[in-house]
Amino acid sequence: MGFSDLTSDAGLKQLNDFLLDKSFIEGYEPSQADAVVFKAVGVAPDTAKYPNGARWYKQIATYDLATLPGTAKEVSAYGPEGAAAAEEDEIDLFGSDEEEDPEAERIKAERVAEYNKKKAAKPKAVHKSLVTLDVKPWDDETPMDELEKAVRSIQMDGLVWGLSKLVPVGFGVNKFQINLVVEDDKVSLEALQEELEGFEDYVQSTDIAAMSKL
Amino acid sequence: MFLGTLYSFKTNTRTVCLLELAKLLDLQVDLVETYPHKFSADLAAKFPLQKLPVFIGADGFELSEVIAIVKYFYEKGKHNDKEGLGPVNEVEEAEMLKWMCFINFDIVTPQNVRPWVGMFRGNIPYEEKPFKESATRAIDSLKIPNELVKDRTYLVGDRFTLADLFFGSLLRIFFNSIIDEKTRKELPHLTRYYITMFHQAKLETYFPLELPLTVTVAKK
Repeated sequence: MGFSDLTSDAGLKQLNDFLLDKSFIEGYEPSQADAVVFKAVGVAPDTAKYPNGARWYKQIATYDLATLPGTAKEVSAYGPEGAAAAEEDEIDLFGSDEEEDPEAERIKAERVAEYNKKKAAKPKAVHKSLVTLDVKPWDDETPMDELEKAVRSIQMDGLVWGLSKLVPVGFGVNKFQINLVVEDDKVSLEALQEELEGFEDYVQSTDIAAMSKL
Repeated sequence: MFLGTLYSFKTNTRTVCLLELAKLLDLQVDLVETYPHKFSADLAAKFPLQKLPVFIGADGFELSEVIAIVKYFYEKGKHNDKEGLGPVNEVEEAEMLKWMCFINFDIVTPQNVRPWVGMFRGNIPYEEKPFKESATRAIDSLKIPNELVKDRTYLVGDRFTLADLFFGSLLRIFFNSIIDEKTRKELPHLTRYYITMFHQAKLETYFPLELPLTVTVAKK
């Protein structure tokens, strides 16, 4: 659709609404889009009725229109997106018949059972994750070295602590960031976080900053 | 030209505009990572308030107060000003100062920022009532600049200036935190202004444009 007759009340209202959240017609700098629409509007919109349009018009009037960047198009190419795209016939090319073949269902169930049996027999691989954990102190006076000792004092089967560092957060506060490796079947990260947050003298909260499979 | 050293951190609310200004004016300014009330003894002796940012020139000149530093940087680099950032006359100069003082002393103030910003960042424990009350107070204060920018694209004159660089960058503290989708609709003119200035000031060098759908405080 785009802009229609910009000398009419309806057109100016359309422009005004469009420019509520925009300084320029396209992007964040003036361009030929603004030049085209400016010429189509012709005279300064009434400030009381169309405040956004008036603000924009006043600004574009300060430029030499010919020097603005971009390529000029028809005025109707600019403005709110058209609704024309929604008028297609709705043909469901991927719909399926509701019919169910009981024999096919039986065969499918049989194959699934066979697959599960085969899978169960396979020795289970040890799945591990590499996790980066953020531990946040109460304030800038929390003793971070004691916080680190407290964190590393947690021992669990399947948990290995790695490198750590302090990351500035702002206002002189650092958070403690530590890498760890966990065996997924043995260690619950939620339980670990709860245990960390149990160190109430040091820990305000924890976050999992990153996580990936090893 | 090596002008001197800023003591602050890169994403500090009142420092981003100085780093970008130095770049725009081809001034070489070092940044030494420093946090408020954590100054070295030497630096604290020079700047007892221990607030950010502070500047020490290569010639030993010591300067605090962000607006003074903006002014000093501009005077030192204005021969390299290719974008018309500075005032064209004394009226524009006064208007720029007005807008910078307004955002710095009337909007981004301890009364408008505490305690919600500490809770948002996770520095202090979250409490619902003081968070909501202080965030509401901050948003109410933004209704004033929302109306003030309604009739203009830029704050002073008809081009992007120092005032827009400063004002726009200081708004980030609100827009990346407590201004959710619903609140942005209540502040449409200020939102339009912030988004435009974010791009024109090229602030994506320092932080992303974050316009959160909802307010999400640091997880407890």
